[in-house]
Amino acid sequence: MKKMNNKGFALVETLIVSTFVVGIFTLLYINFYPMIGEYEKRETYDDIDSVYNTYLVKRMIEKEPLPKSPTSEEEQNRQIWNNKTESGRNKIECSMFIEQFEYCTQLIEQLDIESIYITLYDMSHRKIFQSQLGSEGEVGLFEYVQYLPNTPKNNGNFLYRVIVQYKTSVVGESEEKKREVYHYGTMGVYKPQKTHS
Amino acid sequence: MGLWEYINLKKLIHNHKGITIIEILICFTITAVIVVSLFKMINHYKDRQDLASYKSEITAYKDTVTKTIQGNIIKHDGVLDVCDGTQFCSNDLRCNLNGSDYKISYHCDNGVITDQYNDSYVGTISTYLKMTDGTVSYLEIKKQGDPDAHWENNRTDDIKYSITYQENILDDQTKEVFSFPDIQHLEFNEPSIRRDDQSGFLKIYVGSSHPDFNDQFSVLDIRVPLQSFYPNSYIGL
Repeated sequence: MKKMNNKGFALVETLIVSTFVVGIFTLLYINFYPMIGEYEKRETYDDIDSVYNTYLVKRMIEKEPLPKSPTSEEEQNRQIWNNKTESGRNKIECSMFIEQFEYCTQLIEQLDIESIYITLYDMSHRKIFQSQLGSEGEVGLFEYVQYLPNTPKNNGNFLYRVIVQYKTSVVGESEEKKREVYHYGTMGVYKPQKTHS
Repeated sequence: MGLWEYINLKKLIHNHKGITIIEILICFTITAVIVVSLFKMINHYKDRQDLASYKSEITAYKDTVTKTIQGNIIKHDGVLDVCDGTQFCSNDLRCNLNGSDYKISYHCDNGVITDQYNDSYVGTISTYLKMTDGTVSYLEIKKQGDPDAHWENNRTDDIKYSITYQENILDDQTKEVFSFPDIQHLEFNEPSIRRDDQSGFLKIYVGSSHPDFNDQFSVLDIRVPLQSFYPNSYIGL
């Protein structure tokens, strides 16, 4: 009787195994490749220049005395410390600084600051913060706020935090290839005790 | 020949084990094609890895120098005043900071301090910073090449860059020299230490450039308000 040689693989078996192996590698690639983009994005979060520049902003906010009690809602909205801050998000403008208005305008210009926000330190109102961001097109800031961890209330040391967005121009190979890069920094802030005279 | 020898001989003649030379040549050709096609890809990733390591070294250097200088500025309650480069460029070569005179031993060239070689491969920019608490610090950005090597081969590879910061000019123990990592073809460019009288800010900047970098990176980029312009010590601790 003729002996059948059953060694080797059939073509179908090879194709099925190859499909499985390629599928697994594709899954791995799809899951791990975006991490490279995430890593590059996070290079702009809390870099050394942003941290020290945010410190200057923090000191400016802490040094500005509290205003006298506001008489109207419009007046209250023009203050740094108001209901908006307590409820999760207040965008800081230089018009809110009475004693340091000129310093504020120079600081924003010299440090390439795009926007300054005050919020609660523990980020418990993160969703309120983010829900208002999308409408202003601040996608990068949305992602930075997403990246910030939930910090437990640290026994009254910091109740508030400042989040600063910086916008700088990076020169590429030539002047035509200039592009805008956003950096972000955050720091805990104390509410001042002193009031305007 | 017996039957057994005959059968063995037949097996010897009809031995189908082994591999022919054509099969070997085909295998080598296929392997060579695969290796050559992968070589380019691997080379590309190796270049990317080299660039990433350069960026990492520059970032580490920047972090160290920035932390030292900024940390000292905060510790001494901010910078009160600073000698601008143009202040040095007079016959006197002296810098007056709030009533105190500091003598500088460098030459001037179009408003920029240079040392006596005054060539493109050797140069120094420096300044004194008077802090709010009275401490006077010293900052120097230097590039130093080998004049003989430059004249022979017009090379710039052997230029060394360094930043020197002395927290207190009265105490030599506080002097720190930060030598830039030795990265081939990487140069400092556009170094400047300027007091901006319009904004009241001190700006210290050192850029870097490398032929393989798409973007320019800053090695140092410090901007602090001068307390002489904003006198309420806004950045004091």
